Amino acid sequence: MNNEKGNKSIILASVIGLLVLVGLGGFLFTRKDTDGEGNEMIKADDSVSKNTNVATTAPTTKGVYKDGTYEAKGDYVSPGGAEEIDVRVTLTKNVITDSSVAAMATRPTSKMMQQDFVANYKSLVIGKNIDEVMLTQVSGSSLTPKGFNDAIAKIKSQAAQ
Amino acid sequence: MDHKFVFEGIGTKWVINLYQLNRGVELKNLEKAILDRVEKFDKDYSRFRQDSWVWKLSQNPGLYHLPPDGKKMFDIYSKLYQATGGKFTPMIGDLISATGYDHLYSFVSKNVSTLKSWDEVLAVKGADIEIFSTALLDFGAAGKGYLVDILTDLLKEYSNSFSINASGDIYAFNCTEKVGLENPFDTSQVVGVVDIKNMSIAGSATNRRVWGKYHHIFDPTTLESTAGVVAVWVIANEAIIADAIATCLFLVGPEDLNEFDFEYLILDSKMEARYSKGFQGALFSVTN
Repeated sequence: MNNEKGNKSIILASVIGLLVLVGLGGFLFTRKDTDGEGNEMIKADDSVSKNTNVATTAPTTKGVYKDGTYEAKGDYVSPGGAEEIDVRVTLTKNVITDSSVAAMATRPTSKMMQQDFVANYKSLVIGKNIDEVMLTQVSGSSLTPKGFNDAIAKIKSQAAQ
Repeated sequence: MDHKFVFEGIGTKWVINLYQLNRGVELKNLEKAILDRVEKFDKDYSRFRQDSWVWKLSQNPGLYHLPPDGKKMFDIYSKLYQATGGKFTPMIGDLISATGYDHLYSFVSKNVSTLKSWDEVLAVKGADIEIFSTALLDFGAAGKGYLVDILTDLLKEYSNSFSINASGDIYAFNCTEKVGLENPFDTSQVVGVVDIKNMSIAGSATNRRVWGKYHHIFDPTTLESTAGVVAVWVIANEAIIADAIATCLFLVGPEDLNEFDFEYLILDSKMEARYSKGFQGALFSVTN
């Protein structure tokens, strides 16, 4: 469609726009790669604002985009030193259906760094069966002792009478 | 030569994985040392037994000697009491009991009333604590994590590689545990996985300790169980911090807890997650 350099700057602008939407507009970054489809452009629309802390204005651009996940990496300097973030945008039928900003930090996070950056959000979290996931431990609410379980069962049966 | 040690302690299930044992260590000595230390902790801080230190303090005002590990417990509770505007409080024992989760597991609600403030109840004075007005103190919000840290220090004398899982509060020493984050709506599933090595992760959720209209995490300003947040995971260097902060995040936002160093993941009832920049792991969602 257009030449690759033009596409890169449009994608860059759109992803910057996306970062503005998630409140991280102060960062400069370069786009490192696409999903392999090449010359496509990103269009954002209001569906991205389903995240509660996101601004509602969305940049729009011309063009049709192939479904897929687009990724950009951003570099910035925090009080703790140079850091890198990874922005990922998933498009389905020209609509951003998912976006995330992932930390790439390798040093322990300092309190100061936590204060400087907004939290990340993810909607529509789902579960996967434990036996389908590679894990060695599980963390959730504490298992209850037998005495507790017996008492709960007793009051439930009393309530049912 | 991995060894797994499973036991019940402070009202929940513990699993200790020993991946290495120092020379000359006898397992039965190690296991006894652990169980003895767990029993001592329970006898000090449990509000469920009438021979405990906490029960003794709930009966009469006066000056009492703190257990040796008590100063750190009260220090952390004091800091978080202030940071949360009193929502995170050891006086919560009176409220939880009144709503039914008492030492008899009666699960009958009676005399639910506003809690006394920290200064009304107690003052820590060096190695002692003065009780001005009685309250049933509850250390459930951080006690399990604290005991994980205490047992970690004990185990380091016996082993150079182990992990402790106190029913969701985990410390991994010189090993990596891949920790699944249990789906509070379906405990056969996990919503994500995070690697833990030489760090602690604490998980809290409202799905298990449920009775009537209550679950076990209360907001003393409303006298009701908290709403909105269903599960929280916190990663910190010490399990006591991870555990305490995990409870706090049902009551206040992470921005109120700046004094402490931690990463977090908060899951709400709409299956939306909010997580700190440094919370590194996989989180499963519809689009991936």
